[in-house]
Amino acid sequence: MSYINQIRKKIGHDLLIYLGAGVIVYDDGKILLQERKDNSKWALHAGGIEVGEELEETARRELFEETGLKAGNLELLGIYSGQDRFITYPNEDQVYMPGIYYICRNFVGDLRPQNEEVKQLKWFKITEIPKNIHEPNRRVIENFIRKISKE
Amino acid sequence: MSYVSDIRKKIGNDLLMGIGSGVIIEQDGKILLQKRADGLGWGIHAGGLEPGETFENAASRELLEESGLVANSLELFGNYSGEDSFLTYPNGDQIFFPTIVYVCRDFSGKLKNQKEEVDELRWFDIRGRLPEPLFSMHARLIKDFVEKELKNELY
Repeated sequence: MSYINQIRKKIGHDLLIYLGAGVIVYDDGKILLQERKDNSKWALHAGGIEVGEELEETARRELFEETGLKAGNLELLGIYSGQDRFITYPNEDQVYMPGIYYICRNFVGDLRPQNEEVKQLKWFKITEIPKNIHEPNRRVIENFIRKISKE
Repeated sequence: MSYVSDIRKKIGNDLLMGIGSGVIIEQDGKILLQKRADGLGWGIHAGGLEPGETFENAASRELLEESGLVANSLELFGNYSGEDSFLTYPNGDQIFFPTIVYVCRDFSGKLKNQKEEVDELRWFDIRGRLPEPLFSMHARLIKDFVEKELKNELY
């Protein structure tokens, strides 16, 4: 049983704090986003750290689980915390999840969206990012585009 | 009431994940360490994020609470997770607290240790011997910092 499932049995929907790690997959002017099943928003590939894990491992694991891609080199984009990182899930579970995001420019594998969490995976030109972005990812994607535009 | 003490009422000693934020204070080739009152050794000034709090705020708040110092600027040093972020306290509480670490070289205020959590604050020369034992959760980051500073001094 996972940490989250176990602690949820005792705290119900109450606020839980944990750290997440995520990946921006970038190739040829495009980023890969996933349409989430829970809120139908476009999001980065990310998830919570597991006990004993290194953050970079979390990022690699989540990317692989959600997209089928294996990350090559990961470059730190930044660490994000603050008011825009509260989430209430459709089942009413509340979390505060600060996160660390990495940029991945080289990867291998075939796109294979995770059945339980991902509706579809799609490449978007950084000039044509969809409007309905998963809120905790908005600032991250904006910072990334600003950074890339300077390169 | 803090997040941790609140949730402990519901989960007892069970494993609790959280997020730590801490500061390495450096001045003139010395780092400031604190001897923890819980007997777990010497560490940096750090603590857990409260709901909605930013990493920078948590680091500055913990620094002020534990040492009396005010951080004027923080630079990101690194993130520390993995096996050494896991700990069982003497009272049986289990935690896994990956930690974001800043370096602060510009600070003000007067050293004043927080009585409940800190036995002693002391400066250590990075070229000298570090105190023992180092707090298990901070040992790797303190050694990494010292190694990096010594390398920078060479060039």
